[in-house]
Amino acid sequence: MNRLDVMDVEKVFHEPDRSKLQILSQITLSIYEKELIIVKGPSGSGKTTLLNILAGLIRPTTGSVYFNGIDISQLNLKQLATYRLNHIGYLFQHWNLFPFLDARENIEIPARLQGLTHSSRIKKIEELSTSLGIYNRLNNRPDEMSGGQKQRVALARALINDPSFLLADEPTSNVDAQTRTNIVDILQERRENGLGLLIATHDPFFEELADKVYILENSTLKIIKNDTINITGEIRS
Amino acid sequence: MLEIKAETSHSTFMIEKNKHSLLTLISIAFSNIKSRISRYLIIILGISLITILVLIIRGYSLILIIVENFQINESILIYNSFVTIICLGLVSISVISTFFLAITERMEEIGLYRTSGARSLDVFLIFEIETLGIGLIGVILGYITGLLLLLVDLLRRWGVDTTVSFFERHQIEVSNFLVTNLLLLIPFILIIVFIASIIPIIIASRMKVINILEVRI
Repeated sequence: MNRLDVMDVEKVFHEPDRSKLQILSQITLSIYEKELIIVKGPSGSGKTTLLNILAGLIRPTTGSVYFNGIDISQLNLKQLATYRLNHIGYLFQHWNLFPFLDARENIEIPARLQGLTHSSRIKKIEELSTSLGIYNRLNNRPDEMSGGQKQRVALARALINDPSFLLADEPTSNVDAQTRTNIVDILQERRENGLGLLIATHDPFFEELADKVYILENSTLKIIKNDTINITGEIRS
Repeated sequence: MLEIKAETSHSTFMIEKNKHSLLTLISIAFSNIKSRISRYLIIILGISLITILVLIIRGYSLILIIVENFQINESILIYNSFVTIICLGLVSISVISTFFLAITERMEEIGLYRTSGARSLDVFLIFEIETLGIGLIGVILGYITGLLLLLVDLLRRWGVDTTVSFFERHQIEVSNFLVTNLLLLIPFILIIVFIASIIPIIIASRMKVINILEVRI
């Protein structure tokens, strides 16, 4: 079973005036496959920083993040790239699409890097784009798409390599109600197939479906909803 | 506190390599060229101009030597080389600075490749193949255009019959000219393009992803 464990993580940023800014303090949480965890919190509370640490984009100041028992904060850059490529889907709040590539090429990049054949890439792109309702936009560049369409392209890109975990930063903040339902449906479907999700959001839609809801305030994480059952000392969904 | 037990060994990430080949990176680089071709037109034009310039200067020197039995003395040779080097230097500097800016403005894109799972070496190779590809397109276009311009000028001056007989009589010199210039221009242009792109690409491929993307995150 895939799992991500955050152990006593602290993150301190050094400001230009040499003062220290503590973003995260004593953060401990675990995500298992098929689990949906929501992290709420005011703007600037450190939600994105937490996601970045889990994705291996930044290293914690102290503490560790384990993927299936492997401390990712000890991996070198090459190993971190492999970790992200094969196990992590990251959905940025502002999509971060390649501006000069069309939707198909944007979605295709991680699959190409993973070495998937042309035919399996085409098949996956068709499946994902159809279920996300962007099939007819595959030849459009980001500047020719609405915010909701860009969000779905970014989601398709995050999911194309069948990651073990999806880290999503406000995935429904820029979309209409129909698109939101669409996104939630596909995430639920993936979840049933084993995807673990950590979502930074204020969307009550997700909160209802979540196994755990945390609030990140004053650098610390507090659990406010827990639908998981404690069996033999190990937290499982 | 949770006890973490390793379900897989630490060596998993050593064994679990990225499975793409160099061919994948080449195809990504050429997708990039295709999608940004309009942005690259100025650079391609600049490289083509260098190539045309060199071909025309060397082409007319050859014609002067063969047809007019022109004896090139040392001062003409020095003057000719000086003018050529100045022209090539100026165009090279402009190509280098344009390329430098073109890569620098794509820092964010480089960060995106890294977040998508590309290693630093992959990013370096994608961007180097892309810039060398642009250089190659420019030099080939310039080479063909330069030869066509020379041919058109010869036809205009000499007419078809004289031009054809010139090529027949001087097949060896002409084929030497074609091969030598191609072998001279391709490495020259590729070195210029390589110099232009290597610094920003190395900087960006070694930067922390978060630092590249921080403005957007």
